[in-house]
Amino acid sequence: MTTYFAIVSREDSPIYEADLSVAGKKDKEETSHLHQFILHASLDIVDERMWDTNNMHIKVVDKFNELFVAAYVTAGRTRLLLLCDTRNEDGSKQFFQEVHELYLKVLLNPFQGVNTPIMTPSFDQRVRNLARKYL
Amino acid sequence: MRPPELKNWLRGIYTPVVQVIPTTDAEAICLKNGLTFAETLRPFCNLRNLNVPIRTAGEHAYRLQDFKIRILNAKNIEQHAVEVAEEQLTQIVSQAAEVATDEGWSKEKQIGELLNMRRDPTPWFTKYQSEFLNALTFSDHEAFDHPVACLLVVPSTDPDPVKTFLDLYSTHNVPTLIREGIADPQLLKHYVLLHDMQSDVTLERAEQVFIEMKSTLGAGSCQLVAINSRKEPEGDSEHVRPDLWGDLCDPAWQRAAHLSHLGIDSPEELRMGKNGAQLTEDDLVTLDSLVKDFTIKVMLPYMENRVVSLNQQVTDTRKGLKNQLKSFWGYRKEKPKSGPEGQDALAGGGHYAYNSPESQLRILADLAFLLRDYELALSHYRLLAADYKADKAWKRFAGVQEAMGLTLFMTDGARREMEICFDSAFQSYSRCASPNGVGQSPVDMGMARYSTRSMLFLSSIFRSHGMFRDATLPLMRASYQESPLRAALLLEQSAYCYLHSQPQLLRKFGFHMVLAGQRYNSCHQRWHAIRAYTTVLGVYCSKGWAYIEEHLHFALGRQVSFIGDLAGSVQYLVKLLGACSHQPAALQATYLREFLYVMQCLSEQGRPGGDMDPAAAAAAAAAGAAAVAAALPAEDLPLPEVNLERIHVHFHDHRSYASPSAVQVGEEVWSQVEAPVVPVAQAGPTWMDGNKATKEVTNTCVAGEEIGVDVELCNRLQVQIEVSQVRLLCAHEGRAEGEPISDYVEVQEEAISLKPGESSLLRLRLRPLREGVLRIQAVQWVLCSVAPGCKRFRQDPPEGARPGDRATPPHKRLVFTVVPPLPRVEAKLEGLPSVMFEGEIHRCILELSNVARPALQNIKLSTTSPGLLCGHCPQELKGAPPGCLEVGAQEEVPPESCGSLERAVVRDPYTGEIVPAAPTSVPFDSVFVFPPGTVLEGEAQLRWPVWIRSGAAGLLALNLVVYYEPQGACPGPIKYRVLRMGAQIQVNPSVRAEAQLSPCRGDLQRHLLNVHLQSLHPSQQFRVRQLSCLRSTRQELWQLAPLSSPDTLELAPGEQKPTPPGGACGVPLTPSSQSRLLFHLTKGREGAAAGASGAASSLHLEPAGSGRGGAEDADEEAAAAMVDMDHWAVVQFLRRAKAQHLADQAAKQRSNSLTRRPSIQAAGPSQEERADREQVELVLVWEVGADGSAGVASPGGERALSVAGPARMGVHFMHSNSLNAEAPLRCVLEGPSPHRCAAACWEARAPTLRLRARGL
Repeated sequence: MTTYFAIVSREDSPIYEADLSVAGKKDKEETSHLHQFILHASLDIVDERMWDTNNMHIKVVDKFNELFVAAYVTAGRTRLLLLCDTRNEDGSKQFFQEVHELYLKVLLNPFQGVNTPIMTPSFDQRVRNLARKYL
Repeated sequence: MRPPELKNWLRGIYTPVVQVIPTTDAEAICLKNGLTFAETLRPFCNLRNLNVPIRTAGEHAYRLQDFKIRILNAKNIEQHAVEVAEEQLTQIVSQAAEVATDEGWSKEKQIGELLNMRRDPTPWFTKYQSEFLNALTFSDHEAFDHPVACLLVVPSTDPDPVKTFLDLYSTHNVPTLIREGIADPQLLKHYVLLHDMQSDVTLERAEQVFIEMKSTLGAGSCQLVAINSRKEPEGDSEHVRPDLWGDLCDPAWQRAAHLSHLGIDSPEELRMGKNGAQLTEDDLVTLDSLVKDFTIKVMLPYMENRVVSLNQQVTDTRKGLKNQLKSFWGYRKEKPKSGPEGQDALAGGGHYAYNSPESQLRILADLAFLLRDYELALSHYRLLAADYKADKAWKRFAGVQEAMGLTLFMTDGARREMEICFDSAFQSYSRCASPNGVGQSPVDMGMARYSTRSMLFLSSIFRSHGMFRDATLPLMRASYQESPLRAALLLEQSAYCYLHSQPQLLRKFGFHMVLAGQRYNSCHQRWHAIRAYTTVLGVYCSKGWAYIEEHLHFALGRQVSFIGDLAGSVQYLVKLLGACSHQPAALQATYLREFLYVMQCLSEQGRPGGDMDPAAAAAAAAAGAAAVAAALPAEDLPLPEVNLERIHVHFHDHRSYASPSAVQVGEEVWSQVEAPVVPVAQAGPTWMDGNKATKEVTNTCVAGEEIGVDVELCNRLQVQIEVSQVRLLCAHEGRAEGEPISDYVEVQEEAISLKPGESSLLRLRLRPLREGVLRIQAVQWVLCSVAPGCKRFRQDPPEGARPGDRATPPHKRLVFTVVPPLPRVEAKLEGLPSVMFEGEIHRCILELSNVARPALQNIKLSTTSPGLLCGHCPQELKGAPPGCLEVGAQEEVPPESCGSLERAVVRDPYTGEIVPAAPTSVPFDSVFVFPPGTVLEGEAQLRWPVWIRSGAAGLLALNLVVYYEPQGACPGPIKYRVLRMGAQIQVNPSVRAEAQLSPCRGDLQRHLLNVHLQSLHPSQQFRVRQLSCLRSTRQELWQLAPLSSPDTLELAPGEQKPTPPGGACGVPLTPSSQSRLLFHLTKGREGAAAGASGAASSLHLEPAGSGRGGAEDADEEAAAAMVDMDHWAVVQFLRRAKAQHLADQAAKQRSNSLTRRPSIQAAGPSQEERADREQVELVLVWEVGADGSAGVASPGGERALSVAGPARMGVHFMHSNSLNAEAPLRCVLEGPSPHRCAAACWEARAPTLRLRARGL
């Protein structure tokens, strides 16, 4: 099962990426660039669809082969993207909301820029815990 | 394309086919023009301004304004084999690559450039698409391409044209479709009599034949055409007619197939010059009217009739209540399944003969479509679709659906329905293409092409409506099951659809372009792959999508190197190296290998294999290096990383360092140490000296002396890399043009191997050889002996600093003023221990050597360490270290003899004058001046003794500065130099000794000295060797004597029993033990006791069992074993220890008085009174007992110490207040005898008594 999560800043740079796949069976270096390509391409659709709804969670926006992209747009237009090979609306919604909270906490750090990568190990760990919980 | 244009285009594709069957002779006539007969007619097939009324099934006639027919040779009316067709299509793509390479398609495009792209980015796709559609014609499941009419061509020279005409249409000459019974063989036949004007048969004769022919074959279906009427010779300047046939000719292989069928072998010989060379304008008009007349007068009416009659037939059999009921009950006449079972059955669901009702229906519908009666066509297609579906003839069903979709588009029907039609066509075709299920292999490429075609139509229709986003989906769907090349083309088209949609979906465009690039790559269309990738670089780069950038750069690097552009490839690969630290080691190794391989190829480019003479080889190597440099400027190489922040420059100006540890000591410490010896520096420029400050600040260094620059190289990869030829790049400002830099600077090269993730500090060295200004500009290296790299140092001052600002510390400055050679001293301390015991005295040898050529003079030493003492004269070097301190070990040295040290001096900090140091003013002498005559010649050495005594336990830092001046006049800015030496010694605890005086009960002149010893070291054994009592400040000398009888001192708990004196005062002091020694201390009587010398009285302590105390034996041996308390070094050290002791006491007192509250200040003796008191100063000499044997002397009375090898000895200073202060009131009765008058004595003693009492 493939699960890839990324936070993309409003300048389109990925500021956090995590491969949340269950115990990497696949060779990672083969697919990482494909995941990035899909997520990057889906930004076009996310930017379009986010105006259609009042919710931050805009569900599945894009699909490539068997991979779905679900998205969540924060008020600051930071986009949380989840690449999954299964549709799990409820789980991804919960996941997005919790990660959003975590992200806001990270942003409270005055040394964390909006467009700079999040390197905090605890953030990474918590995101992984959330993924285990909801996805 | 807007919808009308697209409709036009579709009409141009779906046109009725006219088959041509010429005789061999007729074809030969045409071949005079280099054309077949069919080709000759082709330019006239596009008919305009017809205005022909057409009436099919409907009530009303409609008018055709333009029409087009396809004229083909019978042999070419068949579908090409899949492989042949694919080969043709691949060639179109490859040719596009060749053509477009020059036009700069494959340039990286900025985002703005992409968004505003005006011209068609893929001009070759239009051609590819029409070729692709062309390759799919003459399929058996469609009737669009079934020949409608047949032109039979016979030359006028034929003896019996009528017979020939009738014979001509035989099975041998009809296309495969008819032969196999798929197409209707009952064609419209039209007879053409071809007359060659250049032949010897006259036109009249031909006309006669024609009349005869008309009468036999019918007037309407015959025509006479005369061609080749050009009379004038070839090459006439007149015909400058544009080539009408250009693109319309058949491909060579088709033409060859046709001609060989006719029995004409070598078409090349028949070809004469330009196409249509023998045709005059009149001929062209004739040909044009032939086509026009044939189409309007013969073919269109025929088609009309055909439609009407077929429609009637269908109406009879399929329409009406009766027929509908029939089909409702599923009554179907059995299918004429004549084709083989298996693949055909799966794909086509059976074989339908031309006369089957389904085929008839299809022919009807397609004819209606060709005649543009789309309503009629649509109704029949619908009917047909149901039939095929019931038959499960999926291919035919798909064909019908596709035609239905097209018809709906042509009639502007419901868009949704049209979409569904194409969709089901696609699905049905796909089902045929993949018999094992959609998406499963094997895929029948021939069938997959049809599904692609349907999706292409759908996509084109969407695009014509401006619905670019909807147009992408069909293309994507088609690409899944297509061959890589077609998939790539389709994906590229879909990418451009995204780019054209509103709003522009740039990121989608990028993704699809990359997918297309991948497909191109896999089918070896390298140029297209590169084009696709470079187009999207601008979309992705510098956004931080690491894996994406890496993928693009690696793919590009590889592809570009494959097409031979190594320099371009390097550009991409080098970007890869700088940004792949997140990847696993194996991948990084791959990248590195690829990069190095390309660099290697680049440097070997143009180098022919085999042997070469040296000159040519050198030239080739230089050319290779130039190519490498042009491809990749050395500054751009990211490996290894150079940390510019951690540069450290090591050089000697007037300062130099003896060891790396000396460098670590701060500059403040050194300036303190140097202060007494160096001249007062001129004040530097201040802020008021305006423009002077703008002068560049440089370091000063000496020609011939080495400069070292520490550079940190860091390997961010997880792969080991080899870096060789690491060197500094520098410029010498005095250098004239053409002179090699090696005359000015000598640069050393280093090599290093960096482990994964390692960062290593590398000392790079260079040696300036001539005076001038030297600038160190960069560090250069060669990565893995292939790729040269370079990193420039920051030359300009940091931001915000003005030029000449002193913000840059000297160890960061890279500009040097090189001055002429100067002497330089290197020094080392020989025999310096790394560990000492507290109080230990040690002698080292200071070895000064002048490593440069010029001589030096005026040597001074300066130190701030109290434990360091410079010897007076070289003679002190005699003897082993502890022994040389013993009495008599040193002979007298006349003070004026060779190079003895002058009296210590100290510089007055305020006046700068050198004044003799008074022992009271400074705690110790800090400056030693060598006599003025001391000159150290070039490359000479000087050895000098240095005494070291460790202070308190802990770390002892010794800082020593050697000052010297060059001999003779010194032109440069450096007038003197200093050498800074520093050492650190670990000092371990040794012995603590405390002395206590108490009155002796037996003798009033004597005191009892109680020395309390404690060994502080946990493991080392010490032996107490000697106890000396120094002459007091009142010049009184106390005599020491071992205690002769046991005293009745009370023992404190835990103490050992006092050692009996004499026999037992030889003291091995075991580790961590306590011990006590008792002595008598007697006042006065100069020289009365043994061991008394000028400054002190000493007592040699013998180990237990020797049976005698040192004091009793005044023989020479015992005296020699004594440590000389008059030795100047000992005296100095003791003086320092005493000063230290007093300072400690004063400090303690000060802190006590600060903590104590004034009200309860002790009513003890005041400060002055205390100073008054006499103090007994005692010195304890111990030595380190390595083990039992070395320390214990034999009973024979040998000297205990000097025999033991490198013995180590320490001196302890202790003092005790004299008994004068501590004693209670006491009476001294003196008299000749006890019987004398005592009162007189009492009186006489009264003042003394008073005096003593006051001291209480």
